[in-house]
Amino acid sequence: MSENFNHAQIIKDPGDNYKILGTRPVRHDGVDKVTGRAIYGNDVQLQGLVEGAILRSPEAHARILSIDTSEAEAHPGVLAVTTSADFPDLGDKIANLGEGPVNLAHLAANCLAKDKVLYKGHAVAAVAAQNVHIAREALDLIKVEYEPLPIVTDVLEAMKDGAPLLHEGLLTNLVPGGEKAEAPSNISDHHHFKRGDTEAAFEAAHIVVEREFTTQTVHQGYIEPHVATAHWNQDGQLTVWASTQGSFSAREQTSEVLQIPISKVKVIPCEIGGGFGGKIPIYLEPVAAVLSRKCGRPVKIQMTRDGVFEGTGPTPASFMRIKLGVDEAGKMTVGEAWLAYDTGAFPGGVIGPGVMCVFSCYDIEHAHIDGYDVCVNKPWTKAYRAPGSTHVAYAVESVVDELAEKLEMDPIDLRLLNAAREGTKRVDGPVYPRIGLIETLEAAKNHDHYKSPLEGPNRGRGVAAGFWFNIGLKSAATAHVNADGTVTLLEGSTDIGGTRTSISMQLAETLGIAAEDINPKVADTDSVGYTDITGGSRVTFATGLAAVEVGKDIISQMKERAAKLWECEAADVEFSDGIFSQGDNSISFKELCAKLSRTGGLITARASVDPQGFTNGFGVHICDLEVDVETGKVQILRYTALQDAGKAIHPSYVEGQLQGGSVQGIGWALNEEYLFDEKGHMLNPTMLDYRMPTALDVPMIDTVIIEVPNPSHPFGVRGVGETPIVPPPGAIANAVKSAIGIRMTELPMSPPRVHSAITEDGNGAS
Amino acid sequence: MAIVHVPPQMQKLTGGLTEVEAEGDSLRRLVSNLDTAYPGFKDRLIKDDLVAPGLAISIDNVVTSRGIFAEVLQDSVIHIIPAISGGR
Repeated sequence: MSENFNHAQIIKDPGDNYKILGTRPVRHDGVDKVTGRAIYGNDVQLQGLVEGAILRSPEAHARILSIDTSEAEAHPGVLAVTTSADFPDLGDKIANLGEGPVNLAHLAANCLAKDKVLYKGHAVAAVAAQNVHIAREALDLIKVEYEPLPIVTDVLEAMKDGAPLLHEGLLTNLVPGGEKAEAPSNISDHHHFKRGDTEAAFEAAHIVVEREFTTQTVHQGYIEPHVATAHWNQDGQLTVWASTQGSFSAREQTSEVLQIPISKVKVIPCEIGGGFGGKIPIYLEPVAAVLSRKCGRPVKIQMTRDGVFEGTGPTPASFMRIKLGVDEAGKMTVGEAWLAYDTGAFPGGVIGPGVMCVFSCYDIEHAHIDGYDVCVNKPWTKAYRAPGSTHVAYAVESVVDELAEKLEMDPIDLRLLNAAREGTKRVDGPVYPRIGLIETLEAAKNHDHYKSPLEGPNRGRGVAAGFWFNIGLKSAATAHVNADGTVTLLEGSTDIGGTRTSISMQLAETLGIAAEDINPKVADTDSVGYTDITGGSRVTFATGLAAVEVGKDIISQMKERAAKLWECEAADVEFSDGIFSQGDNSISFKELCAKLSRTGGLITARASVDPQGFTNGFGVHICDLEVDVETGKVQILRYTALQDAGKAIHPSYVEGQLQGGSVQGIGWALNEEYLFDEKGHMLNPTMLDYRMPTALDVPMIDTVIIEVPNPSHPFGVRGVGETPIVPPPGAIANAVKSAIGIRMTELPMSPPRVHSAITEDGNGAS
Repeated sequence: MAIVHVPPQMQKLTGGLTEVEAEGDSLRRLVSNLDTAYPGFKDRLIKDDLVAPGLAISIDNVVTSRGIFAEVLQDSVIHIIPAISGGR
């Protein structure tokens, strides 16, 4: 790495004296990835492999009257055709699949529609053929008779009495812990939290600001399309090669949808070209499996780009009403939020995290939150990096900015006055442990970016804060100690953001050896202990913890070997900085490895963890921008992302997460949206028309890593992957307000919307 | 006794009480005792020996993944919150 590279500023914890953690070793998978040797899903080649293709619905809402596959089956080169008739009947079974509960009937019906299609692009049938071209030809020969039904794609329209119902029997869950509503509707969940007396508090407030906001459907935009290869062997063993964020979760989902024992399914995780939450659910795996069972050959299916946009799970569109009140000093006394997220075609969206995140950055005594998940005729929404939090941060941070204006207060000072800290009770109940929001806000206020003047017409500066959880969940790791002093580490977390290295570094720190002496492998579901998804900002925290436990096991076993050499008790052997010692005896880790085979054989260690003490991540972003008032185009001039990382194991990867998340948030703020026609057809399902930011659209994202150690991890690790997408829309909206005096209340702030707001013809409210 | 914060959607069961006390050294025992005092509590919180889909239980500000076997202390504080899931 170049010495001139502009590394992040790191504000370290004073007690930090690690040797490996905080350094920047070359990533273990780097050579394979830059030389093209890494095996991604579409690189899988097997003896007799055939290819599949998916037939997708042209209707956004319709009853399937019949499907005739006979002509496709007779087409030369076609080996198998499947529809949902080949899936078992799953009733209404709910299964807990690691990332939360899943209605299996919905999961299966999203892979292949059962009796209705619920969105344009809904998968209806699939073909396996000698090659993908023949498979696609055969799709045209499948005759599907549809009875079109009225559609609804807008979240508020879908909530109205008389709206077309997607699921005739859907009764609203009152969450948490409530009963079900009595009458069917499109509202799948209603979350409600209340504390204090909001009515009286608003009455007593010095200033109250209330605003309504909308956001549109946005996709994760991973470069690699979904791809899965399945081989259903004659002995009943199913092997799946997948681009997935969780091989064990993919195994559970596939086994449940096909109703086959989990022991009969092995999932081999391939390298992954991005996921961001969108590759947690399965789409292709059971379809490829059934085709393989039918034709007796391994079957690979790769989605087309329009298939990815139209047939996988983006993040919801939303409507939000936020009301905040402050006293004369600027103390937030009361907040109210009414949130409606569309969940797409099936129940179960991300409103839960939305309601928990909405006021999570602030200490507010009186609060009232209602949140709704609402079914509409769009793809079934799924997680996207801090699911549900970016929406509410955009709305709340805009209102906080407006309060700062009215109070004539510095916006960071207002946030500092009200910031959540250790002991603050979230509106949904739990009390924060040690968190770093205050330190992050202070770092933002002291940063050169915030202190530098910004001059020029139509230029403005905005700040925003953001919050996301770290989840714990289960992780396992196994290590083999080699005679040459290296350690082979098997772990089950798909490596999306450099986690092979961040996990290896924690094992290296524990063992007192170099990170390069660890050889990490992401293993399949038959080769390593159960490990939950790569998601929830959990892998460096939880799988890292498993690696630490493995390290402790190795040290314990090696103390016994040293004791044999020195004819002493293992309890008398000490270990520090990679050296075992007892009295005048000492031996390095590497030297002792060379003697293992003579003292009882080489060592294997393992650990399985289910950590309970996970924590929270906070970030603060500063954005300078310029608005072209002729066209409405917004140009980002300078951008700084600051975040509490607990302990940055590999600072380059933390910087990368901060930069990547910021850019995704910038795209969400300025350009990205699904555009639909009146039939519910997506108009822009290509990377050309679905406008994501490129390197030419953004400046270098400056980063500051703040290290406030997480007390629940031996090295203080907090997850960092998701929080960085949360603040950008709020920071950018606040900067636009500062630049042109217009508060944008609708995302994306694309040139047409900004131009329309400038000409007082649209959605901006000054 | 442990303190259980009752979310608004469950307060019908407690006659409007926002927090109640209950005995029990595990979540299973605590919920069982709660159900005796406030019938219906168990049905809402536990399904098939697991915490009900879509719910999570925070014990002393830590969301537990141990389900009904989670340890509860004499002075624990319990919150019932939505489960974090990225779309289900």
